[in-house]
Amino acid sequence: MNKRVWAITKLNLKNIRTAYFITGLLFVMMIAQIVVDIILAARGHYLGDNAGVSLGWFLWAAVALAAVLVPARNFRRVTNLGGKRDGFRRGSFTVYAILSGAISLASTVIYYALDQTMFQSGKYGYMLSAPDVFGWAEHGAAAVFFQQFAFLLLLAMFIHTLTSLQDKWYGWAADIVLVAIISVFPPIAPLRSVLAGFFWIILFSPLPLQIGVCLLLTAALYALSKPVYVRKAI
Amino acid sequence: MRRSKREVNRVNESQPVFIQIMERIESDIITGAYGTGDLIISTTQISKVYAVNPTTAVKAVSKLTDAGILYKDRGIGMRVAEGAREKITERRRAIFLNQTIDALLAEAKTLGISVEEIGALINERGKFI
Amino acid sequence: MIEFDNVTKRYGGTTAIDSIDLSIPESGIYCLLGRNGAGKTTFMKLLAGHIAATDGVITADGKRVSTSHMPECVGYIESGSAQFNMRVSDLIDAAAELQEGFDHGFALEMTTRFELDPRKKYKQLSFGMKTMLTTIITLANNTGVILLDEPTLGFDAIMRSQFNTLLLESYNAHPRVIIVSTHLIDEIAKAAERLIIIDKGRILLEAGINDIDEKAYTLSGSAKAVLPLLDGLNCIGKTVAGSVMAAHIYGERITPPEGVAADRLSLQDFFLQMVGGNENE
Repeated sequence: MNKRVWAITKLNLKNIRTAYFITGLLFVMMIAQIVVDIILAARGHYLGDNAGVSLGWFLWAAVALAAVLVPARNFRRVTNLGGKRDGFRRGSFTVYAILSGAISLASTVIYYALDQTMFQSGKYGYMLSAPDVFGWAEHGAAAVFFQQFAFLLLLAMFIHTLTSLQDKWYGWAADIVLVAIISVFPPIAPLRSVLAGFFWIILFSPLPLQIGVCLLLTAALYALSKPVYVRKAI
Repeated sequence: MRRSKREVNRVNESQPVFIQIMERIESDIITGAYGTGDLIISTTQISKVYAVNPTTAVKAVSKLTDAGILYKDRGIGMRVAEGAREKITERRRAIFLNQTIDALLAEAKTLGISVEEIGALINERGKFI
Repeated sequence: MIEFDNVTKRYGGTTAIDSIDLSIPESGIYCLLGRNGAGKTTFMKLLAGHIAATDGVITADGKRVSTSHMPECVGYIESGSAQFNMRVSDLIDAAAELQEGFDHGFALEMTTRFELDPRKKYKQLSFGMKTMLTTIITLANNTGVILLDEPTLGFDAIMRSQFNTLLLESYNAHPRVIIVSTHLIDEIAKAAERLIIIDKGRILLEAGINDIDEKAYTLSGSAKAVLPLLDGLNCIGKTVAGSVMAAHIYGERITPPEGVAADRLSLQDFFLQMVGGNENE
């Protein structure tokens, strides 16, 4: 990677404080909830019907928020220091790769270290965590990490590209199409199955297919971001 | 008609920048700060001292060279030419005798002061200089 | 070095830049003078590849400029632009990493000379100091083409004069194309070599400042005496007050007859006549 792309990556990582703050806030609130649950359990309250929610979920917010802040706030500021369009595009992708990796790693650690112990300690009836819900945990820790990583990277690139488009008419057009898909597809059975099928592939499908499709779609979005950034006004 | 007096003053105080620089160098030669054959400051130094564009400094120096006041000492810099002081004095005298006196007389005429009165006044004042 | 070939930029229905042809073949300090909204910023944004031209071709260093090829050799920061809220020293470090040919030492020296506290965060800076930082970051680039957009906005008289000195120092150390946009031609006039006047998206004039200094003058006297002189002269504007007339000329100097005075026209007055001269008639 060249020096300037790395410089843009560092600038971006330093300047998404809002994302860190909100994620931290959610995390602290959840820990508070868990502490309350533990105290209640210790006093003999039965929590078996309650679902525990994994802390890992809340870390995902960091990736999603970063993918909004980087194009919406940081693009102009990077170019105002002499950064170039293409450097920014690469530097943003590197940020998402780093964040997805870090969040996925943290979430994997939380799953094995915290969620499992909490569940096994029998305080919760069941534990709602991504590796269980999407079946990643069936193939071991590496799968939990890489499948989550691939999905988060795709999520980040999708939000990033959509946010980057917002200053142009085709950005609004993309919004309308998305809203239409979300509101029109579910009530109509054949379309609903298309939508369900799509989410099944990017989240639930077996390891090689899920990772392959996520990375392929990420690559497609990355390629798409090139013409988007050429046209983006500074 | 008061306007013309104000404008006569303005001519003297606001000259093109390169002429202002030429005049400063000329004044340094007249006062003897630079003697014949002395090296004058470089155009880069002029640009720095007076905070002007280097091309303006070059223009001032080349105009002085054209007028035979400076000459180029290749590889070293610009030097004050033989007879530079006389040339400058001569030119300034000509300007004084033509333009300054003409302007004085024209202004006197508009104010209704006769040439004789001016002459008498000049003789009177001249005694104290 | 820089070529504008019939360049037009339209925003919706408004034309910001109207078929401009301009050639800047060699290094120098150029003053881009125009009223607010004349097209100065659009001109710079086009040259930096920040926005795309509606029509025409721009080249810098022989390479075509477009939004997909932001020229590496052109340094430009829009005036009053948003910056990361980081310490001044961190912003300068980041700029040094992002730009080819950035003179880190010069940038730090400038912050000292302008008493810009490197530990302050961007949002803590006053308006003038924000401009100062932008100006420093742009001017510290030693290569190619530097575009300074209203670099002295919010400066006091002392800062403006210091800026002039720095501009010349930087230019003398690294001669390159430096285009300075401004709507006020004050100290910059002394530092600049050529003047480009832009008005309503068109280039009205591109000439050496020393040439303008020589060629721009005012003939004033009674209208009866001045008017006949104007035949064959390039009169760029007239001011009439009663029977007295001041005619502003751009061209060869004439020796005026008795009763008519020929005075130097200051650059600021020259600019006013060029962009608004007709309103005085």
